[in-house]
Amino acid sequence: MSDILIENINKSYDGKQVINKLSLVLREGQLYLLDSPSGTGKTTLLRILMGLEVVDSGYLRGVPSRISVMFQEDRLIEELSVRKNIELVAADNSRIEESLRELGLYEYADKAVKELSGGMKRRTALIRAMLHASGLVLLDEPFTGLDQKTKEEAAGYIIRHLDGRTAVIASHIGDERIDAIAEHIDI
Amino acid sequence: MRNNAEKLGAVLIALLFWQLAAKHIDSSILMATPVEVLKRLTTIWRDDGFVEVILFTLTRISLGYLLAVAAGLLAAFAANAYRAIEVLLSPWVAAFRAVPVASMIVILLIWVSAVNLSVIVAFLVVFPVVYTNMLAGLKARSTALWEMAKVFTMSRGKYLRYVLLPQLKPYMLSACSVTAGMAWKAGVAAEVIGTPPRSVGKMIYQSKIWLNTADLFAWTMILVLLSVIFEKLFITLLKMLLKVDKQT
Repeated sequence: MSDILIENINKSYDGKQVINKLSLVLREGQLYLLDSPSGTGKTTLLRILMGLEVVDSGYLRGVPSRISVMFQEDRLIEELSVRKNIELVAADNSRIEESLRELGLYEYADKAVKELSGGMKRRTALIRAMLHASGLVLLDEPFTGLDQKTKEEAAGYIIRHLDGRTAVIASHIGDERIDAIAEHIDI
Repeated sequence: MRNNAEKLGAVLIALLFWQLAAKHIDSSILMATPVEVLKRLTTIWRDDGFVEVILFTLTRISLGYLLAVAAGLLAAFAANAYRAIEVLLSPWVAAFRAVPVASMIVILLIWVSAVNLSVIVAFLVVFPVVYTNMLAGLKARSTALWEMAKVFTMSRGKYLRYVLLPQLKPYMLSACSVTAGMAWKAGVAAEVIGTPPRSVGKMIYQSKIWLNTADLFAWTMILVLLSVIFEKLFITLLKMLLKVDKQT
């Protein structure tokens, strides 16, 4: 792993500039919080880091080949169980049970995702992201749809399972513990 | 339950209508009664070469059908990956769909022996439907899940089994179900026109020549039965194959 260098990148859609001459250094092992207002290109920046979007100009260096992602939409396989969705990408299946317990999903492990509430799906997507072996963790609005208690549990879970990886959280919902350790990025 | 009773009632009324029409015509040469057809069905299986005739038609139509399903599937994946393939295939697919089966059979008879004609005709009737349906399924697949699989570097096998196949399943089942009956209709039409020896098509043709309507109806019923059994069996196997256990 190494620092990730984002140098003078530009991105526009249909002539509308979404990211304008953005330069950043994401230091290895550091947690970053993107908490700028909606429509400022947070998701676009995450999609560029995921390799799903190509920049119009500028360059990125040091982006790891393996990335853990929690999409803004859950993007779970609805017909499969909670456990199976996680197993499909998890590096170590022995950590799944513990994670399910931590986020209150243990009893729902064998239920099909389509039977879960929005908040449960969000937590499933979070576990899937955190248990995937990677050098970079990207979480897009991880607290959306969670009540105060589950939001706090999710924040604690994220912090416990970062395992020294570089991470970027895009969120307009704050959390004290994450605020305390994260470096804020304004784009 | 009520639906089944209604259906049974409708069938009985249709049989009664048939019986009355046959009695009115009063000529078993022109129209056999349901009873005569039923009697013939109880003896036809003892005819010399019955099993051979059934096997001839069954193997050829099944082969044409299975080859078309496999080719349609592969072609749809190729066309989805490379637009040039989709463009190149489009006139062929359009032609196979538009050309009447009877014309197709007569044209093919110029180049192909009657023995294998039903394989090719079943293939040409089934292929465009499977190809078009599967291509539509591939084009409609979830981009969101494809991106998820890509970002998590999911293996091709896992992507195919857990992400893509469940999305393609309804398209595949619909295509295979619709075309199973089509393959039998077109395949037997090819046999009736080409009259290969020891085929169901030849039996039907001979029944017509000898004005033996009891035989004609009996062979037709056997064909309908074979077609239905084939379709049910194939669709059941396909469903088993495409079943993704949510726990596994």
